[in-house]
Amino acid sequence: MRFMGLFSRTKTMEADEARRWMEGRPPGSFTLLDVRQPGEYEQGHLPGAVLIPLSELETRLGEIDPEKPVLAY
Amino acid sequence: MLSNRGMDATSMNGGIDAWDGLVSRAQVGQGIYLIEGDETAEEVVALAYGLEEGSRRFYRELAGRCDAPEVRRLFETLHDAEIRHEDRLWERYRALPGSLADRRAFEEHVVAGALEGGLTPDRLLAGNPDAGRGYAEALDLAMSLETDALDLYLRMAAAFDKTDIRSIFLDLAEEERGHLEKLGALRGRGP
Repeated sequence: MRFMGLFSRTKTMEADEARRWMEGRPPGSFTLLDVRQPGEYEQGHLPGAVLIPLSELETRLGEIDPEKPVLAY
Repeated sequence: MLSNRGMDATSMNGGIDAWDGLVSRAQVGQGIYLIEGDETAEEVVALAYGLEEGSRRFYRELAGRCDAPEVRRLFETLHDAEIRHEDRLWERYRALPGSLADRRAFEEHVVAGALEGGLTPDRLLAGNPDAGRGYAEALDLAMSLETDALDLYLRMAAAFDKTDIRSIFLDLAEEERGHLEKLGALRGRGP
């Protein structure tokens, strides 16, 4: 049914699992995405995280390589 | 949103508040961390070289300050590693068309220009003469430096995706990750 797409659930993982997931992959083989605001990002972000605030994500999706897995926070 | 577009996307539960690891405070679009993606190969190689030189001086200074012999030895090892990074970057620069033949001229003109107004790690340390004397404090300072360097190189690699410059930064990022592992191991054994 069409409406089921509205309730699709994104995969999630706990922080420790996320760390192991990233450490097991070569740098540059995935996109680490920070969806917070610039001020929050500058106060501290995970190394290598690309910032695209959530409010801008829809219009900036083209900046994310669709061939690479994305880990967002 | 990402999954709906067919991307393999995962969300980290708890966000950054749940993260029990190092974070970078390198700022977006400011000073030495300004990356717009339209820089020339020469500019980015020079910037990376300047940062490595700043890190080299940082480790030399920190090795001179730190009271703990084991930590001092690691800093001397990391100092030497930064020199090898600089050597590699110099070779990459030399392969660029129109590059200067003299390394000193490269450092004095090209690198200095790339770093203009930027605060390199050694300059930050110079402003804090008493920092980094103790075992834990010295290692924490170094880990903070390496975390910011890792962050910068990964973001540079992403900004220069689909170019041959990307590999320079991925290689450097892998090295910085290795440095962090060594520092973290020593930190974990100490007070």
